[in-house]
Amino acid sequence: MKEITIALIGNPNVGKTSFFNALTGSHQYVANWPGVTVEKKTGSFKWNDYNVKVVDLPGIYTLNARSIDERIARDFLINERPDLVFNIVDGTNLKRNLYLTIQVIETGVKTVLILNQMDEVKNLDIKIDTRELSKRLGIPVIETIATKGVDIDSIMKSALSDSSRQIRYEIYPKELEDLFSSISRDIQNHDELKKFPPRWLAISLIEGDDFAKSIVRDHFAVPQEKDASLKIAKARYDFIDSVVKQVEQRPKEIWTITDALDHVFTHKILGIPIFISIMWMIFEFTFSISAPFSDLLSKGFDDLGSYAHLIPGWAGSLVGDGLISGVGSVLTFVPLIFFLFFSMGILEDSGYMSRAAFLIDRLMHRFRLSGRAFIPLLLGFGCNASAIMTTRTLEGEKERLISILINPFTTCSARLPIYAVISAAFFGAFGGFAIFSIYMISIVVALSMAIIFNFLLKNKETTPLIIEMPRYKAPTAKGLAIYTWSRGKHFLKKAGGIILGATVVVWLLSNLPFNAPIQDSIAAQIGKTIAPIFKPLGFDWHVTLALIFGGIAKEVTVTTLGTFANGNLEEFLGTILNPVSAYALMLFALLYIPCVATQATMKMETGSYKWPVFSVIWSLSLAYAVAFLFEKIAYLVI
Amino acid sequence: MRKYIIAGIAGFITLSIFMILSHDYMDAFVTVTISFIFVFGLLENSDKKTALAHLLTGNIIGMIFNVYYMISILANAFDTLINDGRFEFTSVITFLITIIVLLFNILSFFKFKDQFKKKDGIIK
Repeated sequence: MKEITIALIGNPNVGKTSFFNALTGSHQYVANWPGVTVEKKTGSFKWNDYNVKVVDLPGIYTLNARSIDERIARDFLINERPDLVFNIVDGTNLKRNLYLTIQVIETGVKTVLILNQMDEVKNLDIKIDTRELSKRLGIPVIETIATKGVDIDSIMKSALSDSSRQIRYEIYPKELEDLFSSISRDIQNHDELKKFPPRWLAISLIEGDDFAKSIVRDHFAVPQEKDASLKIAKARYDFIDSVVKQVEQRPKEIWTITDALDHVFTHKILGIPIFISIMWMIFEFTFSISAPFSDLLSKGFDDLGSYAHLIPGWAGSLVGDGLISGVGSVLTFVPLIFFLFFSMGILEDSGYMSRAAFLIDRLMHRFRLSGRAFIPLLLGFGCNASAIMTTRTLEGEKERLISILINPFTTCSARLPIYAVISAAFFGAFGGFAIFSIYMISIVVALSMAIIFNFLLKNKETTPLIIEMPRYKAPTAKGLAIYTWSRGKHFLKKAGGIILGATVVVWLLSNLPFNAPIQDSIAAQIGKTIAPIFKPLGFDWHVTLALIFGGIAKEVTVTTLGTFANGNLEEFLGTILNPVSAYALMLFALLYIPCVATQATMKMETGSYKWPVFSVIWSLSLAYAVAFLFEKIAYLVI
Repeated sequence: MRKYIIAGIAGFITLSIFMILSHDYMDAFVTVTISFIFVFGLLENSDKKTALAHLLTGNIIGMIFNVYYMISILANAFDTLINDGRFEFTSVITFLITIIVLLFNILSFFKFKDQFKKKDGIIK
């Protein structure tokens, strides 16, 4: 078996991950908005005598990388030198996509152009002469509809066929070509530089690319050419224009349903109210539809718990009060979590995310953040840890750091069970509104923190928002199922792992010494020792201990209270909290320390322990101050 | 097209009134927003293309809202059935108006959707 590596490269949102899934049979998450893939993902498949490794790279517009995700893609192409590159191109946007194609060809890696989304090309009545395109670029061109599967056999045959005799048209004027040749000769005279593609390195040096400069360092002096980068860019665009004129025919002045929807969705007056309306519908739909399922599960766990008590001795108590009551109190919210991800899947797959980022861009600039920073914030409603990774699309280091630090203030799905159980216990018909208010507060707090962090870090730059506006699509059942399951399964895994473990620990602590009443247990002693700190917030030792355990994973707050509750959590909460302290607890849970996974991601993304430690101290102080002030003001008003 | 826009406004304003009366302010906010999508379509009637955009978008969001609202009402009814053992169906009138407005949205959407496919119509 021969081993070959294929890299998938292309602009954001052209269907690289769909193509990757079609090639490798994977089920990587695909969405209809740019910036989903921020790290390289690998998969493999076997074809004839080949063992093919496929690397899906983050979407980029150019090899002149600025942000981290762009650097990952560029570095892989230049340093790892894959055997083949599949340059995935959106067939409906040939003109914009070909800039990267030219740069990829210049790296000297064998390239195949995958002309994707051909179903859309047909729908829009666009005609592309792929044979002429292949001739002009000097590389094989293959038409695909990745979402409907690909013919691996014909793709691999075309990709591995010898294409060296094909014609390649000149792109650059003679004076630039002479300059490239002269620098290429200098490069080849240095052994350390021979591993880099000489033509790509020469062109990048003339363009003034920092990465290329760092490779060459002081090996030789690079001749300076006035406005060289502009001349290079112009030559590329002129070439692209001429190619597109020759190979593409499209109807004039197309006004599609996407254009019509964009006219209204990005309307300067209607845009924001529509955005708020959509967010409200998503949350209210999630809570309404999940309620009957959650209640059925809750009743099931109650019955199971009472059966467990038939087991004699401490084992019955461990299974009934500990495992079933504790873990069950969180598993009850599985429908809520799955429906939340289902709703978010609809939002992402439809293509609305990019419009939301565009709408919020102006507002975000007031907080010295770009609309691009809004996407990690929105994704933070799912999981802060994975959302923090998507800040890699931000170019400014300080802006990225601020986005990382404010992300835990957007309330992740793990905190939802806390709000849901409190709302059900105290706010009745206004439960949905209470939770929605927490989500709105979380956005306000995150943006307010952005102002403070901008001031503290003296950030003066924001990345301009250049974002792909994908066509609107009706979400597919398969896409939604993959999205919902891939996100939701983490919740189930946590329930079977960390939550189960924490529940057993809490049960042990609240039952040791054996046969002692719970008020004299180790848990009570720990809780009562720390409780005076939280007393001004109206939290007793049960809540204090639940919040401490919740620092590991937020759901554990509910399981801990569930373990104390002996089966009826809502009734138990009524004995230790009142509506004011309950809402204060919701605020505290929203703001206090990021979970362990989020802290680890923060450390990984910032490369320092300093920032996760800072985040823990800052958020804990803020949570305390906000909950305290809320209680004092609420008691004054009521 | 104008009469369809006016019908859209009337439908969603009626819904918003019923929702305000039942203290359902956030859903009322959504219906008022959808009404305004149609109102702006009326204001931009001089440009047939943008007026049509408002009509289509209003119908699409309207359909989404009506379906969401009906699911919410039914889910609440089932929740009451599970918890209290009785089937309590609130907001009957609003629910019926929602069905009527949804039917109008579907009809109106499919009537005007094809305008975007005509090469001699909107697409030139």
